[in-house]
Order: sequence, then C-alpha cells, then structure tokens
Amino acid sequence: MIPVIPVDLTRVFTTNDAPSFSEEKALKHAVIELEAQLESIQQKLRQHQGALSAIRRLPCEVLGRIFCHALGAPAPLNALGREWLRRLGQVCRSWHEASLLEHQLWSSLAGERGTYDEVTTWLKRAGNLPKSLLLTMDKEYCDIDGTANSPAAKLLSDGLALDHLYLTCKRVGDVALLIKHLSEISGTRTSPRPWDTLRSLGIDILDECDAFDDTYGRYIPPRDILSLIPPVKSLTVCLPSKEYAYEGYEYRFARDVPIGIPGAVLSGLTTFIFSCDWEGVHVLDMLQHCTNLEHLILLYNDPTVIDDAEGQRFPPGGITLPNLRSLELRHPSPQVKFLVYIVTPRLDTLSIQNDYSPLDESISTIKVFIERSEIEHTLSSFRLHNVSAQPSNFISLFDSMPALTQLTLQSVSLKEGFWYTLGKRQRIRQLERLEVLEVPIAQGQRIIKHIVEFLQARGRKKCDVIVSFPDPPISPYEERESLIAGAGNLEEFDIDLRVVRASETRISGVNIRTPYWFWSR
Amino acid sequence: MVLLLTSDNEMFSVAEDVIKRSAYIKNMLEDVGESDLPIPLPNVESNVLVKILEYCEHYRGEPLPASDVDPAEIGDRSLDIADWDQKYMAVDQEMLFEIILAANYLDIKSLLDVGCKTVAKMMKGKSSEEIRTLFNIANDFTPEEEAQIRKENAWAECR
Repeated sequence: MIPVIPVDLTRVFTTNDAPSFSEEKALKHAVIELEAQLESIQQKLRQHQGALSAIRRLPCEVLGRIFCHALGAPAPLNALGREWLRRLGQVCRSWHEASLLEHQLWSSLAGERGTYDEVTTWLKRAGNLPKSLLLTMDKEYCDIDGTANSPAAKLLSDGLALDHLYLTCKRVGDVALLIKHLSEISGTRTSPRPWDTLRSLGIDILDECDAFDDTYGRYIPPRDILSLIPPVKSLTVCLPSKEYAYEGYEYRFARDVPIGIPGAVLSGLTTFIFSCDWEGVHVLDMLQHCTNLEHLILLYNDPTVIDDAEGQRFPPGGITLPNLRSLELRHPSPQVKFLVYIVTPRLDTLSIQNDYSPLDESISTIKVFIERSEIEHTLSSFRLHNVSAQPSNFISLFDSMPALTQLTLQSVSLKEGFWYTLGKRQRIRQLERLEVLEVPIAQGQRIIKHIVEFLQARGRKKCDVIVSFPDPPISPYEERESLIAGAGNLEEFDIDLRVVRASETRISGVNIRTPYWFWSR
Repeated sequence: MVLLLTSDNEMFSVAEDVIKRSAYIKNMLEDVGESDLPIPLPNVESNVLVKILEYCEHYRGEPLPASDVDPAEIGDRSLDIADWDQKYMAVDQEMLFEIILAANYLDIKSLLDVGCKTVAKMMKGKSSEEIRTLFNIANDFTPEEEAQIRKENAWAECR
C-alpha cells in the first residue's frame, strides 16, 4: 500500500470548498481509518454491554425453563427437537450446563433410528425423572433376523427403566416377533427389564402397515402382539382401519378376530384408549374385565350388536364400570350405541366428538344412559364437539344434567333462541365454566349477548366464560373489546368473559395418531 | 397497603391484593403479619418494579395459579401468548430479562412463564451463532470443548 503523505486538512474542514486531489485522497484514507476505529469501538461497546447484560444473571433453572418452552418439553423430542436442543447447548458454557441440568429436556424421546447407546446416553441425562420413549418399529429397527440384538430389543430388555413406551408399528410381523422374544426371555432374568416395569404402553399399528401379514405373507392376528403385553396401568391400542387391515376380506371377518389383550392386563388398567373401527363387540368383550378403569377413550368404536345374535351376550346396561370417572367417545356411530351397554355410577365427565353429524338420534340414548347410571346429580362436566341438533333436543338433554358445572360446546351448531330458551327454562344453572368454542362467524356478533343474558337470568353467580372465534383476519375476534363492552353488566353478575382466537383455546380434538397426546395423559 | 423498597431506594405503596400475585411477598406477609416496615427488594430496581406492578394490576382479581401445580409439569408448553401479555412484553431485551429475573425472585409463576415463552419464541429456529448474536453472548468454549460437545451430541445433529 502506498503511504499517504500527511496533508493539512484544516482548510477543507473550515470552509465549504471542494477538496483538492491530494486532500480528497487523504480524506478517504482518514474515513477508512475512522470506520475501522468505530467498528472496533462498537465491538468493544457490545462486549461491555454483553458483560453487563441481565441474561448473564439468569439462573440455570430459568434458562432450563426457557429451553423447555422452546422445545415443547415434556413432549418427546424427535430429530428436529434434538437438533434444536443441541444448538441451545452449544451457545456457551452456561447454556450447555443449564441444558444438562434441566432433566425434563432429556426425559422424553422419539428415538427413531437411535442405537442402544445413543438412546441410553440421552435418557440417562433425565436423572431420576420418569422416562418416556417412542419407537417407530420398522424392519431395521426390529431386525427380524436377529431380534435379540436389535436396538429395540436391547432397549426394552437391557436399557433404562421406562415409564411410558409408545410403539408405532409399520410392520406388524416384526413387532410380533419382538414382543414374542421379549416375553420368551422374561423368565430367564433376575432383574426386571424395562418392558416388564412399564407404567403405560401404547401400540399404534399404522394404516400403512403391511396389514396383519409377516414378511412371508402369513397372517398374524392381533392377539400375537397384544396377548403378550406386560401389566400396565395405562394402555393405548390403535388398530388400523378395517379397509387396510382386512383388505380383500369381507368386513364381517373382523367380528371374529380376537383382540387378545389378557383379562389380567385389562383388570389392572386405570386408563384405556382404544381406536378400532372393526365390526363386532370387541370393546364390550374387553370392558367386562376392566373393573378398575377410571378413564376410557374410544375412537371409531361402537359395538355392532344390533340385530346380531352376539348382542344377546350383552343386555342393555350389562357391563358395569364401577370406577369410571371420565368417558370420551370420538367418532362413534350416530346412535352412540356403546352407551346402551354400560353403567358408570361414578362418571363425572362425558365427552362426545363427532364428524359434525346430527345428535338428535342419540339424545334419548344418552339420557337413558345417564338415568341408568344414576349420575344425574354427579355428572359435572360435559363436552360436545362437532355436532348439531335441534334446540329442543339439546335442551331436553340438559334436563338430564342438572349438576353440570362445566360445559364445552365446540363447533356446535346452535340455532337462534337456544340460549334464551335455556335461560327461560332455568336449565344448567350450576355452571361455573362455559366454553363456547369455534363459533361460526355468522353467529359471532349475537352469541355473546345471548350467552350473557342466559347467565344473567341465574342472578349473581360466578361463571368463567370463554368464547372462541376463528382466527383473524375474517373473525369477530377483531372486535372482541367492543363485543365484551356491549355484552351488558358482567361484573354485577360475576361473569368473567374472555373472547379468544380458536387457536388459543388449544383444546381442539387432537389426532389420536399423535403420540404427544398419549404423553400428556 | 404494602410498602416495597427497591434496590435503588425507591419506596412503593401497593395494594395487598395486587402484590399478592407474588408468592414471595404473599408468604412474607403471611409469616410477618401486618407491619409498617417496607419490604426490601434488593434484587429489583424501581423501573423494573413499575413494570411488574403493571402486570399484577392488570391481573388483579384473577385467581392465582395453584401453588402446587406447575404448568411446566402438566405439559403446557405451547408458545401461545395472550395478546395483552405480548404487548406487555414488547420491551427492549434488557428489560425483558430484568422482568424475568424479577418474576423469578418474586415468584410470580405466570409472569415468569410469559417471559420465558417470549425468549423461547425469539430463539426459535436460530442457529447457535445466531442466538449468540441475538443476545450478545460470547462463545466461551475452547475449540476442544466444542469438538467434545459436538461428538457427544452427534446423534442429535440433523444429517
């Protein structure tokens, strides 16, 4: 670089004259030097500011809490979640330390393709917290030719103790072999294996699995898997839909296929989630044994016993579930036939989610069920999702629920005048929480006023109300403040009204195939 | 009314039902009983306490979260933040971290959660280097340590 000869620049700074050639050269050089100095000073300033920053004073447990939020812990971390956790731990030493000290981050893992060592090392970082593992079972992971040495077999026989295990099965034959292997070596060990000490187990056989055939095309009935499961407190079983499972067969074939869960396992369950659309009375067969069940969720499953000789085995009200407290039916048949066969004297929470079909046909079934179970005065929470019915039928249904303190109506079509009639007839007067969610836009402006009038008709009585509208931009949510202001005197009647976006309520039906939901149970 | 004395020696007189959102103050009031003496808050400056009181005032009258239930433990890890909370948290980074520190010290779980969620949202999807730049954090790992951590977490790395 050619050295710049010093030039006196006083003249250019004190006048408005254009610089000469040599002055311009000197000025440009000075600007470059000053910019470099400025950058260096700015960098030093950032360093000093960084050293003073409050972020340095965040204790490990607060950083851990931030990480948990960022990663959605304790939901199981998949590949992306793990990568994200790695990035957080590589920011600096204190963040690395905080990530290792926050045991919750390491306690739930979706261990697809992880080796025995990788998965075990990861879960060890969870310390003494209960550990959850989601395994996606395909041929390589089960290793059909060397089952005992497959990562899955090693993890479930020699790995760390697990609390939850969720097996997503892409190949039924391989999973059957794995479970058979696990049950065969059960008696040969002195210390219990992770498989034997599970508290909850989920087996989710995907629709896209190779039906119930092994690699040689031989049929594998579900009992080959389910008859060998360990005694757990919570069990989730999702069977593939009949179109996939029995492709090429008549659907009636599925009626005679035993599910195979042992009675001893069923009798120990407190939570049972069963998804199956096969014809037959499978669910009734199993529930006969479920005397300790407290929570039951059924998807697509309604016994097909009407006009069927099999139905004779199950008279109406023939199965008593003495400890059942919550029952959720998702996508039952329009008649909600399942309710005909059970009696639940301790039920306090009932939820029905449909595919937006009319509920009118089911009203009498639900009412008879409530009456037979003698829960009119104890049923405190009721949720309807994706249904419609005539207002008179809805009101007649609420006649049978006088003790209701919580009511959730999500995507429920309500005719004009429904709330007015409900108030006038003085129904469900004990409500403490009312959620009217995903209100159709057309009803938006008026529904809040109608709900408030209904609640005011009870006099002063505390009630938390949540109304959710579809997310903006086309939603009355935008006008929520004026809607609340125009709803009348809320304070005097002790009504706490909140208007939120549909996405904020976060209680929409969660797909059963999403294992995160299993984790939160 | 409850008297609070901040680290920069400013005195605040606050309604009891407002400040009881702080489990720390609530427990102190229950332990000590009525007193004319101010409660010293050596870890909270006055400008931060003003913000904290704005939050407590906004949620005045709303039920306090049950002390034995931590949302973290019941799986509420969504990054959804209510509208008002989002506006409340629209402050510069330093104030955001000061609010988090104060919420932690005063044991206001709901505010701590909103603060943690706000920071978590800011970091979402960023690389380690981008996070360092965002929060002005120095990389204090030696090259050997960095290599070791990379090795330990090789499985976690997206390939």
